[in-house]
Formats: sequence, structure tokens, C-alpha cells
Amino acid sequence: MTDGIVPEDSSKPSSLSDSKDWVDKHGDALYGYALKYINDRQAAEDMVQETLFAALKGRASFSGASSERTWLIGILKNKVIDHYRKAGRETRMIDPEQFSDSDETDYISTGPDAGSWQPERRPVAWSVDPNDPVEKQQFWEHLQKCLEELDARLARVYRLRDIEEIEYQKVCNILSVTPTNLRVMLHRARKLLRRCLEINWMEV
Amino acid sequence: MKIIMRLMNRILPSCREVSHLTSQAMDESLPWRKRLGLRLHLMMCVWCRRNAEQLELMRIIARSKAHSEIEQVKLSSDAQKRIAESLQQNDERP
Repeated sequence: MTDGIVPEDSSKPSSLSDSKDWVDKHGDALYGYALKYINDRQAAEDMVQETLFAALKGRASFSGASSERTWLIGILKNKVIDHYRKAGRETRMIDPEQFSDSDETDYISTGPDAGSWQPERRPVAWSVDPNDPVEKQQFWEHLQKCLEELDARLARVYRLRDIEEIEYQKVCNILSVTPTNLRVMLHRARKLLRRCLEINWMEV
Repeated sequence: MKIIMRLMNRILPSCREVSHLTSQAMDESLPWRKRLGLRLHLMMCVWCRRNAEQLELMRIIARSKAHSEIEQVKLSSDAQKRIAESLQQNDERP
């Protein structure tokens, strides 16, 4: 231990509870946190397990400065970032050109109206009242379905930035992509999702 | 009138460009020239305005929903059991 302050019984800090109770006490909270970032139930469960394993091994490093829950969430956070780093390495391999727009289907490509919406692609008015909890819920369910159909890399970008509200630069760091690359991917993700919602939402 | 519209179209960004700018503006503040072009275009173009409003609406709903849902998730009892058991096994190992 490099910490200057050592608890009285340094081999087993008194403030950590029995590891047998961890799943009961913190399982749901850790799972909720993981799910927020991973959005894959199986992977989120595995991550809870990995976190508790790591906590078990690192019991000695618990300084007692934070609560047990905070300490565990901190470990989980690192696991999540590792997970995204790994995913980010795959993301970096992709050619950003791949996502830089098949705009041709959306916009007129030649003539005096070049760059304007193709008539059949013009956004249709939606009637969603964000203050109506029922409509909001339905809309959210459609959005999630559309996310599942989206390219996994684009969905990840959308989740981090538009759902989890992680800062733009931070998302770049987590996924190891350049700001330009992220901009292109976000535009593409938002565009495809809006289109998917439009098609599904209007059919209701 | 038509000539003025054509002229405006020359100066202002196209719908295609506006779609990129709209998305970009959701993440960072744009340089003033682009910001001005975006605003003017949105004032005149109902489709691009709709596009921008809908993207914003998606984000607002997604963010508020994602935050309200997190409190309610629970590990399934199967998962709870599985994790607890493997944790215990792991703990018993020297």
C-alpha cells in the first residue's frame, strides 16, 4: 500500500462488507450502470461479474475514503472504458468514407436544384408530444428498435453522444477516432435513425 | 422573385449541406459564417427546419428516457445466482 493513511486493520478494511453480500447489495446498481453503457444484457451481466472479481482481488486497495458502492462503480467504470477502447480499435480500422454519405438518395444531385431534398425524402411532420408520457414511451421504444437495426458502430456513437450525453471530445477519446470521423459518423447515425423513425412512427 | 431565390441559393448552404451543419451544431458551436448560413436557410426551408427539430426531439426524449429507466433495471435472479456462485468459488481459491 502506497497510501499514507492506513486503516487500523490494514489487511481487511473494516468498512468493506462481506463479498458474499455484494451481489445482493450492489448487483442491481452495477447492472443498471453497465446496461446504460453497453445495452446488451448478457455483456452487462458479464461486466458486473468481472467488476466483482476485480474488486475481490483488489480488496486491499480499498482505502475507505469512499463508500463501498462508489468504489465498485469506479471499478466498473474502468471496465466500461476498456470495453469501449477495444471496440474503438475496431472502429479505427473502418474507412470513414464508408459512412461519408450516400446522400444521393436524399438530395437532388444535378441541375439547378442540386442539393435540395428529393421530393419523396422531404421530412414529414411528426406529431409527437414530448410531454405526453405514453407517446414519449412509444417513441422511445421505436427509437430503440431503430438503434438495434443500425450498424453497430454507428449505434455506439449515437448512444455515447446523444443518449449518454458524453462530451464530444471524450467520445473521440473513448473510441479513438478523430473529431472529423466522429462528426461524419454522428451525422450518418442521426440521419438514418430519423429516417427509420419517420417510417415506423408514421405507420402507427 | 425567382432570380432572387436563385441568388440566395448560390449564397446559402444547400439542404444537403444544412443537414451536415445541423448535426454538427448539436455538438459544437459553428464558425459565424456557417452559423449564419444555417440560420437563414432554416428560416426559409420548412423541410430542413423539420429535420433539425426532429433530431433535437429524438435527443431530448432519448436522454430523458435513458435516465429514468436506469433506476428500474434489476439483475435477473438467475444472473444474480450465477454471479454470486462464481464469486464465492473465486474467493475460496487461495
